[in-house]
Amino acid sequence: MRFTFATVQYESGDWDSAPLLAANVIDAVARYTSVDVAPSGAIVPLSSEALLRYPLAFLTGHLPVRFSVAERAMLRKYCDRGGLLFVDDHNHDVDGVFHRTCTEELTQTLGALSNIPNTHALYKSFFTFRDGPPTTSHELNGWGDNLVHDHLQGIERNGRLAVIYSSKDYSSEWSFHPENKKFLSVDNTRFGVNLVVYALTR
Amino acid sequence: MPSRADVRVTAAPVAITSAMQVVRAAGTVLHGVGLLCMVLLAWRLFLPAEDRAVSARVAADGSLDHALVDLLRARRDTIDVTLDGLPTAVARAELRAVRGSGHALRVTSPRRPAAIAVAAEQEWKASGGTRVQVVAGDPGRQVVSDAAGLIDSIAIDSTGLRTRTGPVEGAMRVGAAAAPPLTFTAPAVARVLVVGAATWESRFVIAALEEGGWPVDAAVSLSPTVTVTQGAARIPTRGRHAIVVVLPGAPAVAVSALPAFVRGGGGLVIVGEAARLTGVSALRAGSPGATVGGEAGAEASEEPRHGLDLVPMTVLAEGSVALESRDGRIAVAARRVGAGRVLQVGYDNSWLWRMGGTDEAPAAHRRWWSTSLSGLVAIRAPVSRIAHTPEDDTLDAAPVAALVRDIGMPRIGAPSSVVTPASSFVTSLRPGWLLALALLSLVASWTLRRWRGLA
Repeated sequence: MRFTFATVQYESGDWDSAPLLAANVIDAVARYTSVDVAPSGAIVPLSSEALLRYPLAFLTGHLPVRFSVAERAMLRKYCDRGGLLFVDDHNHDVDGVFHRTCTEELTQTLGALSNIPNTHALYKSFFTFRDGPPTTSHELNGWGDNLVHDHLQGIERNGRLAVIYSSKDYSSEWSFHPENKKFLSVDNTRFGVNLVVYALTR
Repeated sequence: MPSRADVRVTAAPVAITSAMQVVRAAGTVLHGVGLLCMVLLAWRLFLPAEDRAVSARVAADGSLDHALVDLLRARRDTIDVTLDGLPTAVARAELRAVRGSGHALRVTSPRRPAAIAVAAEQEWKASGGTRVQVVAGDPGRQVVSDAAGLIDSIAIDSTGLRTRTGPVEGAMRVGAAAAPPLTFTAPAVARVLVVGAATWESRFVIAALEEGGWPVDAAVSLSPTVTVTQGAARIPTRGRHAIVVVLPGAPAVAVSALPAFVRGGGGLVIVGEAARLTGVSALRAGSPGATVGGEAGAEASEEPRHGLDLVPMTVLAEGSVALESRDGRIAVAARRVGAGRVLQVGYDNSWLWRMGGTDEAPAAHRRWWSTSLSGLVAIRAPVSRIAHTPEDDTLDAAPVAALVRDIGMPRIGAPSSVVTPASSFVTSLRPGWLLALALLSLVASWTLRRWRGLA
């Protein structure tokens, strides 16, 4: 069964704020690996059983996040069974509403977030990122006022990452048409490949 | 001269009288047979004990002095066995067979067996564990230890002790009076190598095995030039791995090493479409047929594997055994190849069972994989041996412990005189048959008498 990149649709907030991200990550995975990847992504409601067919799912947004009871239950089930949810704060704002509300929801549903060490296998699963998560242009020049987040955060289940939480705004960084990669000296979606490879192999 | 009417009248009583005489004679014979059977039965039951038993002896070299067939044909109630030496594995098996045939076995030894004997063998469980069997000539409390220190203190009674403990480090000792332990290498828990492509199945098979306690190495192919590895090795080696799980898309370098690995004693699990890999064609349990799709939603049913895609085995290889079928198609089969074992699992994408199944699905999926692999681990037994005498060490590592396990702890006493197991007429009679014959004969005799009276 081929790998399909899934974007999570939740009832509150703006789940669809990075419409080009899926295509860009899929392009990177196809470009660098021989992983059998579906050419287009899937959009899956968080409360739906269909989520269980996508063991890696991506969640983003700018607005406050409030999970419904069904969404919370499904998220718990998803992570307990081995699913990996990658959450990215599209605001890149430490105290932004998405960050506050989403981390609160995740903590309430799955437990506290903790820093993922920069030596984690995630940063070596395909490309090597010696300093941990790669910085984004939005961190350095955008609304974050040069505030760089040194770590990603995570929640583990059975010794495996079940949630990866990013305040680095990969949603903005990767939400461009894949054709435009030719203008980049270094492909900034390489960490997306690591994320997919990590999910498929660990 | 009598008339013709007179002749007809006298002919009938003559015929009746003749029939009555035959019936009376038959009744007498049956009565006699019945009484004879009763007498034989009484004789058989009240035979002196020594006539109902046969004695055999285990010689100093451990062999049984009677052929097994003689003991079985002797048809005695009890067989007395005197141990002049510890029975060999063959003699133990013969005695076990005698007992299994319905004879009571009385084992007597003129002296106590070894002061203490212990056999330990690794359990198949991935989490390790050692099965320990201890027999002590003098019952009491003994201390069990290994190279890493004290394990436990155990109470051993006259029948010995069977217990379980965790993985043993170095040689196992029981009590201070134990014979010098033989050095052995504590086997590591069977290590598994998973080889496949970067797919959800690879990821979840690795997860299920690790959660089940198996140490897992992995080599997952990402591109023609990149393979992601977990652990030290990407090629199966007998020194490091006990089992290889080969999934679709496995790196060619790992697949090409599989024949030598299996023939050398390794275990191999071939999963789904991986059976079509050229490198496993000589190893697989059956030829893979066309893939059959799973029943939609069945992974959350009572038969979760009905929801998975299946690569059925169409023709089994010689010596293969089908272990599981689905809708008449062979789903799981196993065979031996050289010194190794091969399990072919036709199911593909078993991760859908874990993710989409019932609340029990993650544990059931984990258990199913663990159980599937456990049958492939060659148990290296015994792992720790304290031999009765140095010459007992080889194939029969702990004969006293095995003796107790197989036929019980011998009584300590004077050896009985040997009785030849040749059978006499009376001892060869079965009491049950005698009783049945006696009853039948007497009932038939009584019935004939009643019939004569009515006539």
